[in-house]
Amino acid sequence: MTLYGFSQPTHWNGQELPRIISRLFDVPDGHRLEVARRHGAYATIGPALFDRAPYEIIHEVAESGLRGRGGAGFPTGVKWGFVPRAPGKPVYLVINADEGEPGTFKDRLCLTRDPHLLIEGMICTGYALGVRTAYIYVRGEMLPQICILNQALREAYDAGLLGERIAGSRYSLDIFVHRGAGAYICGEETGLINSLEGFKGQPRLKPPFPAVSGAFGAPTVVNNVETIMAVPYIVQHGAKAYRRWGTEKSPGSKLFSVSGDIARPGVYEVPLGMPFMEFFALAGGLVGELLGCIPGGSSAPVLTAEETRRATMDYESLSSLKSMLGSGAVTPFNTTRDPVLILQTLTRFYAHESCGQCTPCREGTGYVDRVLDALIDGHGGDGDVDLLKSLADQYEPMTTICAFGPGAAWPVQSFVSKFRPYFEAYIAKNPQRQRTRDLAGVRPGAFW
Amino acid sequence: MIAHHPASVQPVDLDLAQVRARMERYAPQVAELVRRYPVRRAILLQVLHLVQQEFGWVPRVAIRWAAEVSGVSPVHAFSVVEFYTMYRQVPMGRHLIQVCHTMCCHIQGSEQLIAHLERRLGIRCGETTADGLFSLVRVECLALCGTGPGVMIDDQAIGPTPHPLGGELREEHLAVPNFHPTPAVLDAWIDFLREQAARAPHPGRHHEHDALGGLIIGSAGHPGAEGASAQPLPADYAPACPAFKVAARRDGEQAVITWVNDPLLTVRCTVERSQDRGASWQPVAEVGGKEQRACVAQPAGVAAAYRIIAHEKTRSARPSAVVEVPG
Repeated sequence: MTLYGFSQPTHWNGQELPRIISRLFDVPDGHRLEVARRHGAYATIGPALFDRAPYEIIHEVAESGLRGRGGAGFPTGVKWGFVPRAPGKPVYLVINADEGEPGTFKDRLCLTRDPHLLIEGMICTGYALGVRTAYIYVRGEMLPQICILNQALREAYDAGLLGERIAGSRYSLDIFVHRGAGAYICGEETGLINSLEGFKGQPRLKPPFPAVSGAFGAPTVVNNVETIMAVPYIVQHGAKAYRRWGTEKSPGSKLFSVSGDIARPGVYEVPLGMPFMEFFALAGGLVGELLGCIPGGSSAPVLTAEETRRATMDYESLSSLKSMLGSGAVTPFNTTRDPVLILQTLTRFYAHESCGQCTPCREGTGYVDRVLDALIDGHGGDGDVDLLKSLADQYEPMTTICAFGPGAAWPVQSFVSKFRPYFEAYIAKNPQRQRTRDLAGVRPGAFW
Repeated sequence: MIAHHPASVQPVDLDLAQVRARMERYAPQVAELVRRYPVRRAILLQVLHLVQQEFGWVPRVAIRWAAEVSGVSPVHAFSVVEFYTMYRQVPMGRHLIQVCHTMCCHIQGSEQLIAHLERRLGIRCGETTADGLFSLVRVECLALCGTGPGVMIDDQAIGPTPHPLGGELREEHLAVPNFHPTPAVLDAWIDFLREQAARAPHPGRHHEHDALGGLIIGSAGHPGAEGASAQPLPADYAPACPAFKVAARRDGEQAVITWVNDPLLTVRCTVERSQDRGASWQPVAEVGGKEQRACVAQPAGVAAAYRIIAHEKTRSARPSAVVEVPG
């Protein structure tokens, strides 16, 4: 079970596991139209969709309680409801396949194994929102996935499932693939829109929200790959069937990408609300003794082992622990790991990926990274742990245009508060720790 | 080692006319890209990928060409090149090896793997081998965390079977059971690429594959864009929204009917009643588009059926489902 493989059991603890998004993941050649169709792909494209009014689809998705799977977890039906209907301007649908959150690799698998489910979801969504032209923004590094998508799109065009008057209806849709060029910030929806328009991928101020004025100044919906792949199931089977899985506030299933100290890393589709420890058992069990776990991609505040044992995989349980479900990237690490070094890889990541637009984030992420580097290199001073926290506190509370700032601060704040002794052990190794810290030991940054 | 400052590596003999001539072969791709977006400037990122496909990196003068075809100023195109990490502003080796060193790959031993590659190639990260064959760089998350440490050579994530980029993708290219790039796997790749380079010392172009991953040429494009044939959606591309989720109950001498209709498009709803099992219908109430609720008098002991007809500005929807209120 790894990146392109998928061998999730059908049952776990006597309970059937959902296969809503991953239905074709283990079907050989499931990325080809004829195979996908044999397994029921494009069943919704026909009277089941085109005889219904667009608002019925929006309402059904809102009823299903589907939430955005990219990280923020915003209710999809609500987001769609913001789009003006019959606005006199084009409406755009942009699929966010700019997957780059450390720990997350589900979208790569989705695009590789079942591009037709994404296309089907886009037709349903596009019909509901009155979209004529849709774009799939794929991360630049995923060139093989772009090849697969283009091949799938060509098959769908040849079968009359895309283009003018789909399946004899009055609805037309064109889908284009847009290759990104390597910037994590383009996963933020307004950054993605700027990148689609040929600008630097720096996020825009909200409001106006994209649903009112997004790509090319027109109403735009940006949704994650996985979110859209859940739509055909909801259109076909209804909101009630979707709510069979998951909890009251987090209905349905979700793809979780698990890596780190786990026996069988990979992507699993499980109902929301599953306890973390049960999930680890499903993924072959933990390796070593659990020290902590990052529950939802690198931005999510880390959980201690004790918190992980009582947490369940849903939005409300994690927000009660002041963390978040995020993109569903679960990274447990064991007691042989050094949380300080893990945090260093993250501060380096955020310092590298900050788009440079807002001062608190541009300067703060680099500063935190340099202080942490100095601390690890043996130049730590007595006040450094508090310094790290106070720096992160300055770009955490939405002092920036987008959510990158808080996302970059949460790991710093949570690692420092939950694993403080590990940081202090580094400082204790420095014999000159009581001296006012010499900035000569701090690597100069680009803006110093 | 050939890593230099961008200003010092610009080829002196490459001018705009030559770039235009070399990029001539991408004319169909450029025309296709122009069709796809409502504004021409949106093709910039894609055009820069084509430049990188042709040259292997992005020379400054080619940025001028990209700006020219995208209809933006050269300085804007330059700022875009500076922003995105995938555009290389200095020549790279023939093969670019990228190793991820972020959280999950760090846990899975990326530092040891990088150390191995540095030893094996005799260079440090950020450098190119003396024979110009390999460049080695550290990168942030490649979304290969499950099969870490994530390594990409050129445009391929490292797996046991290379993808035929642009060719037909078959099952064996996609199914990769339990694969992690180990030092031995990467050594085999390096040997293979060295052997290949010995057979063809001077590749015609830097990368033979399509930087836009099999771009579909000849699409209908975006309505209104240059050269596009697509038409905008007609306003009535879908049926009018009927009222749905209709429910009714008796409240004393009244029947209370509730439903859901499109709050934005529905301007008013007509409630119709039938007392002869649907043979004939009489309107009994008219409510606004946002109310989604009506009360009508219905004497005790009299049974009736109700349905809703939702009206948009210019058209009416089909009648809703029928609900019955017993006597």
